[in-house]
Amino acid sequence: MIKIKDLTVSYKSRTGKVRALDSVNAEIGNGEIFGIVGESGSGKSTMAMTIMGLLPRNSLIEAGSIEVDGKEIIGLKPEEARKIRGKKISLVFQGAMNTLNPLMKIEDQVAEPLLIHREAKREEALRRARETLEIIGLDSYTWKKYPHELSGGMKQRAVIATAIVMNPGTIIADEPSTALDVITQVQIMNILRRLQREMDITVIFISHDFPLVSEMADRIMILYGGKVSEVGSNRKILEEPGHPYTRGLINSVPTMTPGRRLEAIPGEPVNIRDPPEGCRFRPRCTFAGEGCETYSYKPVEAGQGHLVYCVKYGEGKNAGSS
Amino acid sequence: MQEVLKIENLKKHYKPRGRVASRSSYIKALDGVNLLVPEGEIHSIVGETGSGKSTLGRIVAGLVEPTEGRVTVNGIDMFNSSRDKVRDLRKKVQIIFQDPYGSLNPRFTVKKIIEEPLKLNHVEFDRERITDILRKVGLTPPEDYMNRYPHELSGGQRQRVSIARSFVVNPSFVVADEPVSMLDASMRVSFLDLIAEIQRERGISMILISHDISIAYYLSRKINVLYLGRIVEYGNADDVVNDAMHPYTKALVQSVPKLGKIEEKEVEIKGNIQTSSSSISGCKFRDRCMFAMEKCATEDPGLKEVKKDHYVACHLY
Repeated sequence: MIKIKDLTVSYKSRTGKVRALDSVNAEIGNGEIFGIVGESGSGKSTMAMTIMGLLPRNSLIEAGSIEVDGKEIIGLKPEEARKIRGKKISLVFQGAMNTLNPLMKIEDQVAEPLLIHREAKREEALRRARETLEIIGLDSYTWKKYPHELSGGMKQRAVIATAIVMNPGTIIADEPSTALDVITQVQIMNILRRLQREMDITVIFISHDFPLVSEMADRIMILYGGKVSEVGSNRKILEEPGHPYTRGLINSVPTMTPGRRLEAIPGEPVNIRDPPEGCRFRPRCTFAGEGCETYSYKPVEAGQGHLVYCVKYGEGKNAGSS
Repeated sequence: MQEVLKIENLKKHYKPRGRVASRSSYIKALDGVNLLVPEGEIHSIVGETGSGKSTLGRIVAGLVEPTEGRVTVNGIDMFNSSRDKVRDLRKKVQIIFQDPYGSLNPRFTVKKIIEEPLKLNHVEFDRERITDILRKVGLTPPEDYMNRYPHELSGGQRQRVSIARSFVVNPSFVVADEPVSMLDASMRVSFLDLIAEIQRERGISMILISHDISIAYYLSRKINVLYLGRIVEYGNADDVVNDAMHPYTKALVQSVPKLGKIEEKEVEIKGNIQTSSSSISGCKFRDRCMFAMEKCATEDPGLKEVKKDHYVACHLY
C-alpha cells in the first residue's frame, strides 16, 4: 500500500520556482494496476521520481508524505532509501532500454541488482536472473547476448527483468513503451499485466496515452498542471467522467468507428511556469464560469473512491456524462 | 479525377554501413511501390519504424533520390526533368516534419521562418500573406508572434509555425510526416482538424505518414499499409481498418489502444520488424506470420484486388 498525502514538489529555475506537483493525494492498493494519465507539465514523471527518491538536485519537496506499507519514505537517509528503492519499489522509464550497459551481457545486467544488494552470490544471482528473463519472455538464446544484439522491445523487456529480479512489491512504469512500435507496445503491456496477475506486483502505470491507460488500469488518476483533476475506478472514469478534461480526453480518442466525429480539446497544455488562478484547466474549459477562477481544488465525491476536482460538477451544465 | 502524385515502381536501396556489400545484401527501404493520389485527397502510409514510410515521404518531397522508379507531380517527373522544371515543382511540393523542435531554425524569427520558402522560391509576397497564414494556423494576433524565436514558443505553437511554413507557398502537394506524434494527446485532434481544414479549403493533395493507423483512419480517404518497403494492403480507409485482410494490417489494427480495461491483448504476430530481413525471398512478412505456408517462402505475393477497390498482397486470398 502506497499512501501519498498533500505531495507538493517544486523545481528551482533561473526564472523562479516552478511547482510541478501541488497537493496531490493518492492511495495505491496492493496488487492493483494504478494508472496515472497526464500530458507534458502534468507532474506525472515528477510523481514517479519523488516516489523513487530520484528527484534532481534543483528540486524541493515542499510538503506532503509518501508512506510505503506504513513507513514514511520522504527524508530517509540514503542507506535506508536504498533498502526501498529497487527492493520494494522499482522503476522502468521511457527509453530505459538505452540505459543498459553496452559492455555487459544481458543476464549479468539482470543479476546485478542482486549482487549490489548482497541478496545472492554470483551463481545464485545468475540463476534467478535467468528465471526472471524467462518469465518476461526472453529465451535462453538472449541471455549471453549484448544489448546491441537485441531489438528495442527485447531490451525494454530486459530492463523490466532487471526491475523485478529483486521481487519488489511495486513497479513504476513511466511511459515504458513510448519509444517502441505499436506491436511491441502490446507485448510490453501484456508483460506488465502478467506481473500483476501472476506475481501479484502492484503496477503504477504512467502515460500520456489515455486509451492505453484505460486498457491497463484498475483505477485511473488524471493529472493536469500538477493537480489531480479526477480519480476513480476505470469503469467510473470511462462511463461517468465528471471532469470536462476527462470527457475531452475520451471524446478525442480516435476509435476508428465509421462516421464518428472526434471532438478536439481547445488550446494547449497549461504552462506550469505561469499557471492560471483557480482551476488550471479553466482557460481550455467550455464550462468555465463563475467560481472557477477562485477554485481551491476541493474535491467532490461522485461515488465511492471517485473524486472530481471541478467546482462545476453536479451543476446542471456539467452534470451529464459524455 | 486527375492524379497529382503518381509513383511507379519506386525503389530505394541503401548499402549496409561499413561492409563490402553485394547487391543482395542491400537494405531495401523501398522495393517497388506504386501510388496514385488524386487531386484534393489525403492518402496515408502506415507502417512501423523501418517500414520505409519516411523514406517514401522524403523522396516525394525531393529530399532523397530514388534508386529506381518514377515520381511525377502534376505530370512532371521529379528526378528526370530540366532544372527549371524541377525548381518549379519544388515550390509545389512541401513537407511537414514530425519534430517541431528540430525543424525550425532557432536563429530565425517566426516571420523569417515563414518568409524563407517564399524567398527561396522567388515568390513575390507582402506582409499580409504572412499574417494571413499565421491567423489561419491559429497564431493570433499574428503581430504577437512574428518577431518571436522558436524557443519562445510552446511545442504546439512551433508545430503551428511549421504548418504555416508548409502552406504559405500554396503547394499543390503536401507530405505530412507524423505531424502530430510529438504533440500532447489533448492537442492532436485539433491539429489534425487544422491540417484537414487547410487541405480542403485549398484543394491540396496530401500523403500522411503515420505509425498510428487510427490517425490515418481519421484523416485520410485511402490507406496504404507498408511493410519492409512494400505495400501489403491498400484500399478505402474504412475497408482497410474495419475489414483488414493482411495479417500485418490486422495486427496493426488490433494493437491500437481502445477505451476500456482488457485482461490480455491478443495480437497474432511474431517477432518484430528489426529482426526481419528486407531481402528475404517470397513474402517478406512470412517469418512473423501465423499463417505462413510453403508457398509464402517461394512465391512473392503481388498486390491483388481481392474485393472492389481493396488490394492485398497475401497468399491467403
